[in-house]
Amino acid sequence: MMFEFSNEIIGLLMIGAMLFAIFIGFPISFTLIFLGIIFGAWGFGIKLTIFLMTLQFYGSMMEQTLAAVPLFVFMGFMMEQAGLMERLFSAVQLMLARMKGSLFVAVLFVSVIFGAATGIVGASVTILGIMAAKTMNKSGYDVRLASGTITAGGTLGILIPPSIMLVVMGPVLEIPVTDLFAAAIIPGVMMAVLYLVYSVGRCWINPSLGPPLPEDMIPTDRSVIWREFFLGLVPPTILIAFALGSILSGWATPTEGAGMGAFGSIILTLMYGKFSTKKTYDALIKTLEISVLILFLVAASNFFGAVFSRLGTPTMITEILLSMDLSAGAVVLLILALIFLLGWPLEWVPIVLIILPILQPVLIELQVDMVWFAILVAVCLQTAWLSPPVALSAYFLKGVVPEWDLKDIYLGMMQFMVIQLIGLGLVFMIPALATWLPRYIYGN
Amino acid sequence: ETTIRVQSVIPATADEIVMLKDFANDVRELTDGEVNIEVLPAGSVVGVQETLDAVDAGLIEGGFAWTHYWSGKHPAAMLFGSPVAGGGVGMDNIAFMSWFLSAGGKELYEQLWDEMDMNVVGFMLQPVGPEALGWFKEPIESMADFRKYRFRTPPGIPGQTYKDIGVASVAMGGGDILPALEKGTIDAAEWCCPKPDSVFGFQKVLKHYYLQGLHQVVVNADLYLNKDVFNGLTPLQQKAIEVAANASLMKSMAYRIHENGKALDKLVNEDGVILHDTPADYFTEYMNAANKALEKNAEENEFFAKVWQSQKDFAKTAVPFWAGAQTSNANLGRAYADQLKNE
Amino acid sequence: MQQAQGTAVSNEDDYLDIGDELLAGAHGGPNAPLPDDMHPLAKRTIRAIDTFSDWQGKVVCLMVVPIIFAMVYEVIARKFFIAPTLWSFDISRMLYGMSFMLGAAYVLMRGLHIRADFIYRSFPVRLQGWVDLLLYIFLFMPGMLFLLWAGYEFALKSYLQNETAGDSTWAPIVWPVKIALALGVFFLVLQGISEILKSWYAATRGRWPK
Ligand code: NA
Ligand code: NA
Repeated sequence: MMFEFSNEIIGLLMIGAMLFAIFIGFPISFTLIFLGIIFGAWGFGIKLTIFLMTLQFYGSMMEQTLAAVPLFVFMGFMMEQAGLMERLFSAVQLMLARMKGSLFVAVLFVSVIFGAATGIVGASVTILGIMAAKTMNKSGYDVRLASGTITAGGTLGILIPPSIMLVVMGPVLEIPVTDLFAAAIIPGVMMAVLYLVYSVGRCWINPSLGPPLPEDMIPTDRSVIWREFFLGLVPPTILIAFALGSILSGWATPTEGAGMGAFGSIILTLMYGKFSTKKTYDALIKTLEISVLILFLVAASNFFGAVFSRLGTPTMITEILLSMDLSAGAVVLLILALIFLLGWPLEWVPIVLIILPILQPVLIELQVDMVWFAILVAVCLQTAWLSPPVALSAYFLKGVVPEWDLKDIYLGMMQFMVIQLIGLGLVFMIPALATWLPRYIYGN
Repeated sequence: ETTIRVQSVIPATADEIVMLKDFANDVRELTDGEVNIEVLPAGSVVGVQETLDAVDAGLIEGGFAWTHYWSGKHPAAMLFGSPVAGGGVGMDNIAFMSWFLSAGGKELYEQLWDEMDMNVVGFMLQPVGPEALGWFKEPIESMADFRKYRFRTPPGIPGQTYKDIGVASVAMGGGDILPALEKGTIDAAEWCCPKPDSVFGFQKVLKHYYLQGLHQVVVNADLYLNKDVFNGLTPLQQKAIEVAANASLMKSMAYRIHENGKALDKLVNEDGVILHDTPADYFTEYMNAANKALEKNAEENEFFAKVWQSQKDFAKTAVPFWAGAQTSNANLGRAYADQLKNE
Repeated sequence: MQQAQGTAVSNEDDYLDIGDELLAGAHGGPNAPLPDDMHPLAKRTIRAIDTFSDWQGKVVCLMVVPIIFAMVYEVIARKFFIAPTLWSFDISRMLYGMSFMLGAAYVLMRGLHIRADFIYRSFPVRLQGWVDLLLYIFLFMPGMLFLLWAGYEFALKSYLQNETAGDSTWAPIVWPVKIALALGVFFLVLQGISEILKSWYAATRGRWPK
């Protein structure tokens, strides 16, 4: 009898059904909503499930940090329409004309800056997609490597401080958020370097993945290159001063900084004489399109995750794990494996809020360094954004670069999941990567 | 056997949850293991703001927060959860408990949930006041100094009152506070009390700490259960919850004094935090503004007026006595604290 | 096939290059001519709904402008005049939340809600039509109708008690956001009808209406 399944098992079935249903090809948001309703109704009744959905949607609508998404997207479209962003990426390409994979360097550089200014993955992935994809396409870059670099680079924001994930994690693990911020800096930069080594390294082995500029397109006159570079650099620099600068200098919170960036992009198009009401209105329409695509999906997957949690499956899995008698190192490894697996169907929020509190007492008992553990978890959770099928980064990128096949985006992200595991291994084996900086800054 | 899942609005490791679990344990033992209260961390089923709605609908059986979290549903919730400036009538948290338990507060509290049209039964569990004024970049000598700083304020009327007295009060989600302090987007902030504040990590960014504040001098956390769930319990089980709740009031107060004391000691003696007295003009200015806000709300809402009137009636006779007695308590305590300082 | 994707609008050549990647955009916009062999009633319905949804998008997209204003005003007032506002926080999140729900139907009309469509794309059009038709009727509609029903009651209760935000200092009324939630879902249900008619055409005729 199917009605004899416990709620926890229903949760597992829900994940199984989702892995299949998403690939039928119906819009993912509505598929997730439907599955949430069906399995929620089965587990705890239709009335409560529907109510849970209403609450989750309303909760997503009132999340002020997410207001940064439309603002950054608008900024991206304004710059793109005025042709101001392409110029930077072309300029970088001219500068590093003979270097293979030079655009990957540019993308990762922008990713780190973005990561240091905000913690909103949706915003950085879309904006990098809008800015870099066109030039990458023109230059014949490999779609998989390109989309992997952009999606992985975009997730750096939740590791490199300020990071909303670390802010949520701090109180749960009883560690001051300041310590976590300090601890995340080195691993964050390390991840960026690993991405760089991988993407550029592959281009060195196989230049067709990220070809250098053809000889005839490289101007022989160095002064032309410098001129292009500076002209290309000026508008984004001004914009960064507006958006990211206002955040980094403490003028603005990340959401406000996004508003400054949006405002700055209008000013900039005016200054360059490229402002037109029609183009601005087009940018507004496109902003709405991309923001809805992102945010509706966020709300739908929040609901799906809430049903999964309410069914009790994450708690069950955690308790099974804890019932095994293991050493501290083995427990940490198992927890990371668990978080990695849960990252496939879930986003980081339910993982941090539900799993970590259950594990925290055990880890304290085993005398695990909690700062180190928190950073391991953070690096591990970054993969939740990169692991299909609930891999929001992939959908954000597909939204702004429709000509890239979702399958290629998936395959590209998966390569970077391997890099992620290597990074995780490094932090695991060399705890000082995480623990040295907070000790250096704050003592103890 | 009944399992009651209670979702809280704070992480599972907070002091409030320690005390909530202690209460759950009392209930379990009093009911011979028949009633099991299971505590879920914030956000596990619904978001913080949706907790009460979820209990009302029966999505979860219970919720745990501070009553004023639901000020949006009814302004009078503030008078129970965090009556601004002691209700404007000088109540501290102990005097509040006196009003609540022996001067009609509890009956009005039960009525509050009906006024909100919520299908719940509430139990006051944890008096957790007074909360600190907050953390500052530089010491403040007067209200004029205070007005120079961008100050992250608590939600609702307690925060609006700062705006009313000309403080540059900033509205900001909890997640933004620490990064904003580090970068100087804001210069000062309040959170709660020494223990939670030090867990948050304020001491790493700001060093000037002010304990005496009025915005949340009285703060109460409570438990509310879905009424159908509660009515489904036997009279004995219901009584067990009530008795355990009353016991929790005293236990929490005791626990908090001890825990906050230890935390403050560490802040001052190990982390280099400097403790200051709040400028005297703060108290008069904040009190006056709070009273205006209370009066405005009382004019606009009948039930609010009724609750406030009850607090005023109580305070008229109780506060002069209690304040007099408390002065000797405070002087006694300060004398000892000064003695410690000189040792 | 109507090209409706964000980055490469109105360039017929671009569109042809990437055509088969854009099945998401296959369902046309309000101005795409509908085929002659479609039932006139279906045509009129699709046209009316799509035009209505298009107008939603045209209006709702403007909501980002006051968000920008609120954010810039707050930064300047706080930084230079030590005069932060209490409203900018609430205004920004309420407008953001309302815009993404009220824009959802417009985005459905444009066919932009992301699909994992690399298998779906290889189906013959007739099968695509059937898949969409069945899923719109049995998956999309129940989900949205349930959400509409719950959202309506949610908004009504909030309106009747004149609910204000409990987690902000400014504490504005929040029921407009809840009404926007219910209204956005209502628009989605309407647009769903149009999508059902389009899938029905594709399922029976073997091509998408353009
Ligand atoms: Na970040
Ligand atoms: Na995932």
